[in-house]
Amino acid sequence: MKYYLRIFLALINTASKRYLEYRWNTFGNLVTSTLSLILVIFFVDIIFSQTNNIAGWTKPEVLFFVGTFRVFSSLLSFLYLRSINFIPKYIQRGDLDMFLVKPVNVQFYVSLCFTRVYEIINLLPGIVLIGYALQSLGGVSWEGWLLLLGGVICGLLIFYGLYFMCATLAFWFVQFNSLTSIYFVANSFLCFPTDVFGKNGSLVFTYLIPLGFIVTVPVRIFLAKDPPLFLILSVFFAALSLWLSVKFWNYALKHYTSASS
Amino acid sequence: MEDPVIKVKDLKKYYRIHQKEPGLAGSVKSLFSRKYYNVEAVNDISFEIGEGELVGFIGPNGAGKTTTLKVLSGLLYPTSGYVRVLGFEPFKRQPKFQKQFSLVMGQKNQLWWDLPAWESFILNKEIYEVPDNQFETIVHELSEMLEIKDILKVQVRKLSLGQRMKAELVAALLHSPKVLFLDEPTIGLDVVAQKKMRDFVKEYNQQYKATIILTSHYMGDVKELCKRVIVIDKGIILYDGLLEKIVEKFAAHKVIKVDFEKPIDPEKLKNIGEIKENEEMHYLIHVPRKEAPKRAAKLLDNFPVVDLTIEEPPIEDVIRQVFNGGKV
Ligand SMILES: Nc1ncnc2c1ncn2[C@@H]1O[C@H](COP(=O)(O)OP(=O)(O)O)[C@@H](O)[C@H]1O
Ligand SMILES: [Mg+2]
Repeated sequence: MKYYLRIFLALINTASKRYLEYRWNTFGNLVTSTLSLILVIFFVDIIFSQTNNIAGWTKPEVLFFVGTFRVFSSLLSFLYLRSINFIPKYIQRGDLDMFLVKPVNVQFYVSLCFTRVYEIINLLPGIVLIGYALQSLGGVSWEGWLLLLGGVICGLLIFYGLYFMCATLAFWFVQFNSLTSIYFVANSFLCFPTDVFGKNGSLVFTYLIPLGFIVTVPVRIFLAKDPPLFLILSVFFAALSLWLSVKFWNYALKHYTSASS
Repeated sequence: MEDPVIKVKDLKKYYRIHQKEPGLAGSVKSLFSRKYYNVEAVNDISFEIGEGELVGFIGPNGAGKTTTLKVLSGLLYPTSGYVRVLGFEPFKRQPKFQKQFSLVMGQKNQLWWDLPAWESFILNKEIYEVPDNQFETIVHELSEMLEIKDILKVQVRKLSLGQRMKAELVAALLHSPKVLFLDEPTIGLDVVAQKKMRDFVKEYNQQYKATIILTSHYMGDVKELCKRVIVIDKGIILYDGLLEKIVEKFAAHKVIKVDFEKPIDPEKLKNIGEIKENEEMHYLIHVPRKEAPKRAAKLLDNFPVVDLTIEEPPIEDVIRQVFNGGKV
């Protein structure tokens, strides 16, 4: 455990040097993400000028959701998004071999070797929006915040597992360049509360493909739309997703090292 | 006798390939009925390597060298046979085993492309849990030996191939591996860099007593470095033994170099042996191995000889012909 913490810190440390050159790029990202956020707020504003309730969500609730989604997105970019995007390349070019001979858990290593340290700054717009939405929503208990934090962490793990499994498919598909498109599709589902997909859609995206547990459920718990006990389901899905990704990765490695393709 | 560091017995590694038929129809068809065939990359090889040995593994492209090293490194699961490295089964990829060996491949890099080599060293230090003081000593020593001290803080993508390869070596040696696999480490390097690399490997082997397998499709590497060579082709070991004995075993002929006093009629030399080179009064003649002394005497008796030597054919030629399947 301590060993992996050290490695994680070393990876962050080297990654910070890697992005020193791209620092300004990150500030550019901050500008674009703030602008796009303003656009979304504007959009939400227009919609709610016609109605005061969408699929059971009021305007401040939707804004709170959008803020949380932004926080989730920047944490995901900070932690593992870029690293996972690289995995198919390692597999195609055979560079994976150079990881596999090392005395380190390879899944851990390839998932975190491209952390984006400066992405942390993109948390800001999301947090500001959350603060703004809270002004209309009223006070919240610290238990609420803890539940939200727990929910978002589970969300990060659920998405990690699902996305990592997609990347693992590259062991079978030699030309696998669609990983980032998968991300964008997933993202476009994640950026709305699942309730907008109607009752059946919501059920599918909550329990079949547990995208709903990534952002929607944590926010629903926070807004007392769902009982706090739902967090247990979140934890369950996080563990399941992580476990499946490990199993699938190891299965793929077995396939790879026996070169039966 | 001590246990060998590397022991391979009856190792086979077949790649299973499915046949793809051309065209869309073929693709669809192959989804339902896949035809497989095997590539017999390594086909029943056995050898043992003792502690501190530096063994050359040579063979033409596609001989099975890389496949063998991948099996020894735990990257490939053997189709059948017995493999032990330092007493471990490599394909279990136990960290305890992985901390004791290193694999360097001329065509692959472990250094991060967009970072200075130094940063990759630091990551390796953490992964292999190398103590601080040991890390510093080793980086210092090795980069001195390889003369790359001043480029360690330069982004790897800005280095020349030779510099990069040297940095790769340092990265691979930080944890003082007991066993080192070098897969074509000189590929693509210019002559000077090749020589540097060879000198380094030799020095490293002597200084640190590491057991090393070096593969190459190129005789030059092996000739200067290794006493023992294993010659492999089409997945089969053709020869395993001292480099100097390989010529005796495979060359059916010797070379007589002779200088004459005055020009002579080449026709008259026909019954001595096969004339390979002929520059006025200087001749290179191939003669059957056992006949060499007799033929030389015949030359001396019948021609105005100034100088005569009997030599072994060059190793490169012998190996090349072995690979071509012909006798020399
Ligand atoms: N991943 C693979 N899948 C299928 N065939 C392979 C694979 N790797 C190597 N081969 C085949 O196995 C044989 C041995 O290859 P290799 O071990 O790379 O030879 P060498 O390193 O001596 O050039 C070659 O015929 C090669 O085409
Ligand atoms: Mg090779």
